[in-house]
Amino acid sequence: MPIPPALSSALRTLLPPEGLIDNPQETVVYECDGLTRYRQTPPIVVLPGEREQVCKILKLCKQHKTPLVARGAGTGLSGGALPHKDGVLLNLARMNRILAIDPELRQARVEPGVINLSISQAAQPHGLYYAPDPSSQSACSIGGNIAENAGGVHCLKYGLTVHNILELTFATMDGDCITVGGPCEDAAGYDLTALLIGSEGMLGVVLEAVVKLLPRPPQTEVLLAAFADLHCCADAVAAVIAAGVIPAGLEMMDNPAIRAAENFVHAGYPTDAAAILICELDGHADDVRQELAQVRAIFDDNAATAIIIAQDDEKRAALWAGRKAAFPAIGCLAPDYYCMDGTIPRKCLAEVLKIIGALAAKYQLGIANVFHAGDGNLHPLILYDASNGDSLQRAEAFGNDILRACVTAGGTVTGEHGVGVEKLDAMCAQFPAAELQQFFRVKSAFDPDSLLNPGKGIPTLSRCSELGGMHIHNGVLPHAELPRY
Amino acid sequence: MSVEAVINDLAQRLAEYKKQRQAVRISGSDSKAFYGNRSIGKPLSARMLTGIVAHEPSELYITANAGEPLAAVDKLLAERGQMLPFEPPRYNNAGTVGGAVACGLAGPGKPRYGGVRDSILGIRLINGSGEVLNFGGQVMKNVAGYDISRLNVGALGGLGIIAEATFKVSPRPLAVHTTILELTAEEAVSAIGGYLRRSMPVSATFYDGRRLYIRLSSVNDVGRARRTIGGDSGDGNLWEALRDHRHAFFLDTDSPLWRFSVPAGGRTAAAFAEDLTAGRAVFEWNGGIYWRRGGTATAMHERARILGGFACLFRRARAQNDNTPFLQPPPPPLMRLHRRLKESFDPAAILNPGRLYPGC
Repeated sequence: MPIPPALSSALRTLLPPEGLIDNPQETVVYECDGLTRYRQTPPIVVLPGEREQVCKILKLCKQHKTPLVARGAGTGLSGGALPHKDGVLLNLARMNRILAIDPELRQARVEPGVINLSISQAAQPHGLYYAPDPSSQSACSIGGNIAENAGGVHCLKYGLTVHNILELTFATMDGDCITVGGPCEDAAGYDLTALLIGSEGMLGVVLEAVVKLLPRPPQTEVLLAAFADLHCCADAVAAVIAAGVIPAGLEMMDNPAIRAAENFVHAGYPTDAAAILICELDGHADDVRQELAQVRAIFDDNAATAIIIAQDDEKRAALWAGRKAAFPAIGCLAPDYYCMDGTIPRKCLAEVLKIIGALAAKYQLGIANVFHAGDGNLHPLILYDASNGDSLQRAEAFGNDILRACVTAGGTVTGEHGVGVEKLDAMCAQFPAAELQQFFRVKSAFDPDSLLNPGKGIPTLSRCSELGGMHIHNGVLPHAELPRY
Repeated sequence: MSVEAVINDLAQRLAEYKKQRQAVRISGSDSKAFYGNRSIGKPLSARMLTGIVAHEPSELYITANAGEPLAAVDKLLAERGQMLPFEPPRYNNAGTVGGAVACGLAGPGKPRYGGVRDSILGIRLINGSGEVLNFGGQVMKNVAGYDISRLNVGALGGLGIIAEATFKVSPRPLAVHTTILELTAEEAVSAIGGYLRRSMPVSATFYDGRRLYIRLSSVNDVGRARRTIGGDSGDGNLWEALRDHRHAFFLDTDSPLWRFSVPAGGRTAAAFAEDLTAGRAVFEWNGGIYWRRGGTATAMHERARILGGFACLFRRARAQNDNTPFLQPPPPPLMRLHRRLKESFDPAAILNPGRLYPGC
């Protein structure tokens, strides 16, 4: 069912000319987000400039029973911003003002389209920064970060988005503009701030947020340790945490990832190592010095074959360069790659890596692994060639098997990229029916007509029973107009 | 009875009460009976749900049944050099895991270590239909599904009986020192801001109208911070006394006790200056929480509103028999959302009805 003409006309009246696009040759730009496998050209795209317009847009869509998908910068990796065939695509990119920075309270008030990194850039003159740093931070929007509860390298020490947002103002499908939280240490009532964060655009549309700013740490150290054995590397990770050290960052790369990165940026990584750890420590100089000594000793105790400690900012940046370039570097190894995102208990790292290795052999596909080792959040990158036979289907099956292994190991199917459309099947393995039904009821409290980002995040019960927990649908995921929740 | 049997029994009872529309009043050790609006209902205790389910120090989490005393959890964690980051209060030396989650109250170190909701990783819940549900798990990086665990923190039991909870734990500081400075309130707030900007190991602060008390904590050494800040050494027992409301300020129960959650700056300090000097108020959490003895609801809520925060009637005066609400109701659209969410967990409104807000 296409967009009702009455709705298009009402939107056209509401918005200035630059705020509405309905020419398919232009709307096609919004056909996908960072998950390019799934595409759907939206019939109409609206770009509001301020919050009243957003509330009115939602109210109009509800009136006309038209679905709506919100989009920030479109960098998401799970298809959360995949448009609906018969719905409105709501692009928040024009609402991109940093409204206020309060250096005394260490807070910033921002609109949803503000780019993550630009918050830190604006706070920099005050010696402050915004901690959650997903690798897409130079492009992704804070509204999208909120929808996904984005993490990043530094979240082990500084938390996810949910730990760094103080106040949210959001629009409901009824067109109400609601503020929850506040510029304070806590808030009254149900923790709707936490409920909205990570809700993947299914409960409300973010209009404004107050984010926490942290002081730049006085001292930072970065070290790289190489290991000849994956188990030693994994043990070193567990030992660091068990010693009471909480690094600002603790990242692992396996041999294929190391070689790809070294080829790409020449960061000086040891290409014969089975795995490397990049560890960042920050804080007060005394603490950092102590932790550095502890971490070095732990790496030595766990048979590190080499330890490099960066001597200055430039060398620190160089050590990080390889890790930061890992994805594009690995992208050079094959025509396509599929980035997985799961979390497991740290202690299961070596075991799960072994399982992934065995699956790679089973599916005859290449694999490179990059991890936020400190919190067990893994990003296996499956290499495939979409133009070659059933390579894509094998890659998806491989991915689903990895996620199942994560759940079996006591973890979760998504650590930070969200469920979107991509992991609906995997959600069936993680959540039984009663829990899914409780999710549906929560959704219904916000959006009983199921108009906000339908078909994302939470699978329907019928989908799960079809799957039987084991069988995976091959081929490209059908479009969002099929009955989902 | 085994824990599983107790949970199933509670679940069956709730399913039955739902049919009868029989309200229940949930408790653990009932150490926070005063907190929230008075809720009437058939007493239902989760006290028998004792036990630590799992503790993996190197995985930085602990899972405990709801009736497990907080003191026992703390003791176990201390043996491994760890702690619950949110330092939950133990009023009258009591307090259980379930109550800590339901009330969402954190101790003196909250700005540094986080609150209950920052630490919770997973929850096992019996909803108002008697269904036993599991959300979250043991890992922090988990964005699958809606955040039901956090939603239940501070919900005063209105969304479900908490049967079990998993928390992230943190290393317990080895070096702890208490320092005292004589400052005005505004000087105190400003000084704290300065220490935090320099990443000094300030883990808690308390201001009593004359003196600023600072807790320095680190897994390493706090000597340099001590020397930089100066001041006199203080009694480290202060912090548990504050946490558990055994400090002299909290002993007067003849006046109502108001809790203000407010922006932690100089403007707020100025607004409370007179109260602080008169000994009617104190602040904690770097100036993010003010406790105030006495005051009418109208005046307190207005003051909070002007400052950009909120006030709650934390504890009614002993003799107070009135129905002053625990919290001001939120604006209608937000109140509607609360009621619909309540209904989505507890359609017959049998779980602690009215304890948080009317209908919630």
